[in-house]
Amino acid sequence: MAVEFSPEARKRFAAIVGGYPKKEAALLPVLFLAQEEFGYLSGEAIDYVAKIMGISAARVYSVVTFYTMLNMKPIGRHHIQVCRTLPCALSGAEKITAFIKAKLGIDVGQTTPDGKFTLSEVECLASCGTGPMMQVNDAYYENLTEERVVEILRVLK
Amino acid sequence: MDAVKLTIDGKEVTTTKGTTVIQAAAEAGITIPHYCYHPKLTIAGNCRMCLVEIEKMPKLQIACNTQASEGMAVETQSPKVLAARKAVMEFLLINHPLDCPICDQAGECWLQDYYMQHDLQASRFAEGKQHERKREVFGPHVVFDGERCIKCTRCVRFLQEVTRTDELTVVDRGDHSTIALFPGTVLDNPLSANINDICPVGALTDRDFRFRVRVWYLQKTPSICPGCSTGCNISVESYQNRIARFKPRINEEVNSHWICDEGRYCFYALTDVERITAPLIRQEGGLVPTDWKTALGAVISVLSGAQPVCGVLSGRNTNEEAFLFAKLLRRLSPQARLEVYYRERKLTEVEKILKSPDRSPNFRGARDMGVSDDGFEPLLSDLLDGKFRSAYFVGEDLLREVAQGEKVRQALKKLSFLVVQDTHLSETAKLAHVVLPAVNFAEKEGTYTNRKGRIQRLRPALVPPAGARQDLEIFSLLLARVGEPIRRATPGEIFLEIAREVPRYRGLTYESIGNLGVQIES
Ligand code: SF4
Ligand code: SF4
Ligand code: FES
Ligand code: FES
Repeated sequence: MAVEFSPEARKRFAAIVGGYPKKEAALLPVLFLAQEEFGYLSGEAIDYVAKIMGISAARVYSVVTFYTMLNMKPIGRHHIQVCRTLPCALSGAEKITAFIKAKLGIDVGQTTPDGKFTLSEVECLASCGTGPMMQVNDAYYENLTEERVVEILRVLK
Repeated sequence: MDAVKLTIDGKEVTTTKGTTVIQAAAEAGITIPHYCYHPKLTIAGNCRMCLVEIEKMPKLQIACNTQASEGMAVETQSPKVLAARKAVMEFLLINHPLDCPICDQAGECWLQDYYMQHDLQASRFAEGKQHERKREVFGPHVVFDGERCIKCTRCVRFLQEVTRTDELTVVDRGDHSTIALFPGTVLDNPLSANINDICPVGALTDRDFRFRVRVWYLQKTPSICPGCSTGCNISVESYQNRIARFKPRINEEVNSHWICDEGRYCFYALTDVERITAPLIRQEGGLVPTDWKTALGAVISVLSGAQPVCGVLSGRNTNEEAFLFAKLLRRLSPQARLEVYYRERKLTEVEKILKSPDRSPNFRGARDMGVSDDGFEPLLSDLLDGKFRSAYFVGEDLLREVAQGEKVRQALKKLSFLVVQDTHLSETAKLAHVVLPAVNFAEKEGTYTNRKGRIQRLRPALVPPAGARQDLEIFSLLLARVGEPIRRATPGEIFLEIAREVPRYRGLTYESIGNLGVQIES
């Protein structure tokens, strides 16, 4: 399957790139657009982005692996990202992750068989004062306790 | 250029504006420990090994990314600096497997050296080490050990900035961060093995040299690459009279810090051959061993009677050899046609960074010495057209080198006399009437003149097999037989003679060439 932007995405791509003095600076927004288009960033998608951005695939790959909100594998409907950096770790992030693992029956990096949840550990999300915390898709959930996690998972459809 | 005065460890140092502290220190002979800094790459500032104390600055600064400024007082050995270095080393070694006994970098590893100089403490890290990819083959010449990598990004920057091929990159974050190829690609460009040289640790090692010899056993001879006429400066590193590897020697006028992959491994084809150790002469039924007297006598008596003669010298012969070869053949016959082997091929953009289009490191010097009339291709076509009755080939297997090999064979068979001087019984030598056993580039001393007119010294790294003779000696023995004895046939003496007789070389001395060569005007 050839990976390629739809005409609509093409227009958005041109607009994004036009907004930056240097093309390479537009890489992150272009990757978000690509992720929206393709669902996740496969090797082919990375190659495609590299081509339209005029840079090497290795450079795009580096950026994709650096930002935890960019995914190289298909993910579930809800992407649970627990912060694992020091302040959160000190306030109990490991316990929260272990709890979610047990609750969903998956390991970090896996997706539940029903395709509903993917669990990741990520670096600091800049909410260190309210740790432990996690981001699910675009929303932050702070001051987590096991009870709050049960609550959150129940509400997510 | 504005001058800047500063002090480093109390020593007054003057440098130019814009110079970094690490460079200013280097100019003053003070080495500040570093990993990620490399004089030929952009500044990354990620290893923190180069921290120094600067008066009036509250925190230690990285010397690789701090500009020297007027009146600056830098301390590279203060207690604060030493403590910081020790701490940086401890961090760098946290996830390191400490596997020096099985690591090929041992003996030339900056982690080992700086550990001994600045750390020297037992690990306090009680947690489990982060594991990483081991023995991952990046390409034909490079293998990666992720656990030894300190993420200095020298390799990544080399591929981005020097070759611009961009194969490697940094992936992931924090303690998972590592160096990788984009999945499905390989690291295979004409300069790829240089990243093994600039990797300061055992993370990237040379697949060819790996596990061959412990580096402290190597004998290192400064010399010149015989691969092409760029004339890259190299260190020929040998063990038990065999070459184990070539390493680049820094020469900003020629190759900077680099050599190409083809040059790096070219010694195999030139030295891994079955040597001939006695002259051979053709008799009923084939070539048979003979003594030097008979062989040399036959060369002179038959060659002088079989005119016209052509002489082809290898581009790997030295200036001194070329000088005597020209003298010899012109003496035998003023009409002799002489050429140094020279052919061009197309280079890719990355190859052009360093390589020349030929495989004749000294074609220019040989021509300067008079081993050229009107080019190699015209001589070859005259040879194919049967215009010569005899030929004297040195060090080049024409049958193999030239595309029209079969035609060359027919032409050579028709010659009434063919002399081949080489290290081994090449396809061409098999057709000869006399074969003279000679030596290779690593067994001889002399000078090469590169494409741009830089004269550089070739130095012997290996002892030739008993029975073979120096090309220079063979030519001078033959010259003696035609009434032109060479008093002292050493490369140094012949070079003096060149400096008297060859216009552009006038006034030069062998000694003045030194380790980095001298430039003659173009
Ligand atoms: S592989 Fe070597 S050169 Fe490359 S980042 Fe690691 S330590 Fe540095
Ligand atoms: S560019 Fe030429 S001289 Fe330099 S290493 Fe390569 S083959 Fe040898
Ligand atoms: S450490 Fe978790 S948000 Fe910063
Ligand atoms: S050498 Fe300065 S930070 Fe690495």
